[in-house]
Amino acid sequence: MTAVTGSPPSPGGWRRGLAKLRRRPIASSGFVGVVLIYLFAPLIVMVAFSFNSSPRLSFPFSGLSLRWYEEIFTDTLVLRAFRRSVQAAVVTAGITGVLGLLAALGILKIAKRARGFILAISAAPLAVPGLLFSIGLAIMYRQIGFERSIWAATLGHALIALPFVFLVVGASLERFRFTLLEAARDLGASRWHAFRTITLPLILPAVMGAMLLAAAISIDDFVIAFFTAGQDKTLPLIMYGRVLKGIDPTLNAIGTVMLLLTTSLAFMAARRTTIGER
Amino acid sequence: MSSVSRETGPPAIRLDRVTKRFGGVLAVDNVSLEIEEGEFFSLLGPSGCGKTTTLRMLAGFETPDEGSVYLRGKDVTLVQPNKRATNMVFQNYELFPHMTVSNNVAYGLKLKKVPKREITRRVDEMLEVVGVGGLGKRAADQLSGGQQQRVALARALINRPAVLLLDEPLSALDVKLRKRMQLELKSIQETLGTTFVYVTHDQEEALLMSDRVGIMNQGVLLQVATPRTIYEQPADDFVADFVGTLNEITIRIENLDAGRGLVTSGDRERIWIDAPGGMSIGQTVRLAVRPEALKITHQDRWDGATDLSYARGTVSDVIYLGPFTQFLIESERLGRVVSQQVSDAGAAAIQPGTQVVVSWRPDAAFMLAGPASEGR
Repeated sequence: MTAVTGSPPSPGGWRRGLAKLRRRPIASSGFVGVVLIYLFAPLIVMVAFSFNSSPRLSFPFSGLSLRWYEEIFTDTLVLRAFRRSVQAAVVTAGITGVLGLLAALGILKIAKRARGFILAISAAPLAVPGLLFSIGLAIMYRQIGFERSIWAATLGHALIALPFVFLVVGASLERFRFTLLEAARDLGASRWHAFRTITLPLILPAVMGAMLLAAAISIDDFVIAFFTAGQDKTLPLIMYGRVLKGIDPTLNAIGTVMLLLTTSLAFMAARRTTIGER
Repeated sequence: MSSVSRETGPPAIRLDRVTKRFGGVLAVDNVSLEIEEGEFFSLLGPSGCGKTTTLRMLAGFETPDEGSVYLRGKDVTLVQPNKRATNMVFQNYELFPHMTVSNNVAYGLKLKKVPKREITRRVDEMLEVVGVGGLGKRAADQLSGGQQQRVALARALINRPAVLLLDEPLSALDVKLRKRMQLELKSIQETLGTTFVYVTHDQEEALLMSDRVGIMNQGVLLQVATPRTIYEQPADDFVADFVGTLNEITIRIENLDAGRGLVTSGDRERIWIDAPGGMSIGQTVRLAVRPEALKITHQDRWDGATDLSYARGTVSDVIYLGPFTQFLIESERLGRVVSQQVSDAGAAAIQPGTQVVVSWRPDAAFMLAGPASEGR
């Protein structure tokens, strides 16, 4: 029934197939196509021009080349910023992973009603505009005498990523069958051993997913770094500096690299937190 | 049949006046109990009767508010579950989903630092015993309900516990599998000689499998006895009613004769009761008879056996149950009673509206205490 050619030669079979084709809502699928193009066009243009051999940002392409990639990968300024961004992402993931897991475990010991309240407040920072948050952070750092640096920025990243990690890990613990721990205890396991051999392996996919999400948030951040990183420019800050001097083809290459990094992190995170749990 | 009579050593389990409350609600009320080594003991009762709480206190998941728990003579009241020589089969099995069957079963032995080779040997052996040999490499969450049940059993038994605790382990299985597992569990228990404490709300299951049964209701242990005693001489109304169906007959004693009460005599009916001392003429008593103890005979074929109690009635309904048939009988003397008979030709001949004689052996009936209840 699916393909006209594949169906047995029953009388009127192909005619029914044709009718089905005609009934397909062309208008709505066309609309979806337009929206998708609108969403992805900027990215497509950026990726495409990163491979253009001419520095002029206009069609037609004069030829394909990797010269912009070569340029950024030999530019010590870009490389240093890249290293800083990756470092900030790794540290953010580490801090939020540990703190988020501990917080999610700790909240289980709290009475149900108080737990809902705490979950609600911990989600509140997600609603605060990043700009306000960054300004507040910068003022606070100034007050306590914490110099602007990549570490100051990283701590800020950890702060905004922590609620995500806490909520994701919390949700996975919500579904965790704690009676499994009774079974482990019954078989002779201490509390710690039961946690290590049962709880941890079972919620690890969610924790890892949440940590990847935190890393993606860190890499993606511009505002916090802008206010707190000082001279330790991260990749987005470098890009911003270049944009100010006019659009430069190396931007496309840096952008493409970042796109690859953040989308692959987000993709892995999604796999671990949803599909990965089955 | 049972190994209850072993006299050596302390009992496998002793509960001494154990009480447990949950937020002011009495879950287990002053329960004392001894379970012998090698015994198959069931705790039977409706949901919320405290049987599972009792089991969890044996496992160490709950601590009694009052009283003590002894395991092989040692006070374990405050001992953590991982330090007790008990193992449990949980209602939902609680297999570790991220491990293979073998690793699930080996979990306890690894903790005891048993050499690897011995673990492998014992795991394979135990999987064989419970009937899932060859499934060791399967992931635990790829098993059917029955297989999970067997693996859970193997995981507990492999530790050679002093007592195996089972919390309604068969309740998630379909009827056919449940019946088979009942027999298998019993045979495994007999082979290994391990003390089993089995919690269930299924009276048939408890009577079928157990050496002794303890019946609980509202936290109170009402009766501890062999299945036969529980069924034939229930300690009180609750036990009598919970373990099977019961016909309740309220009657007035009209005559007393050498320790036997004669309610009424005549061609139409005669009811004997085994009356203990202290009964008097004119007193009202409540008598209980199991449906299968009530025989019914077509009125025309009644020959008036002298040693039976009997009364007349009319069949109001016939319920065919396959091997058995149940008859509802309206009787002026007995009220409404249920009789259960083997579905044979005689049973088939009795239709609604048939005039019958209901008869029973006087010793198949037992006296109920307390005032008559309504609506039976």
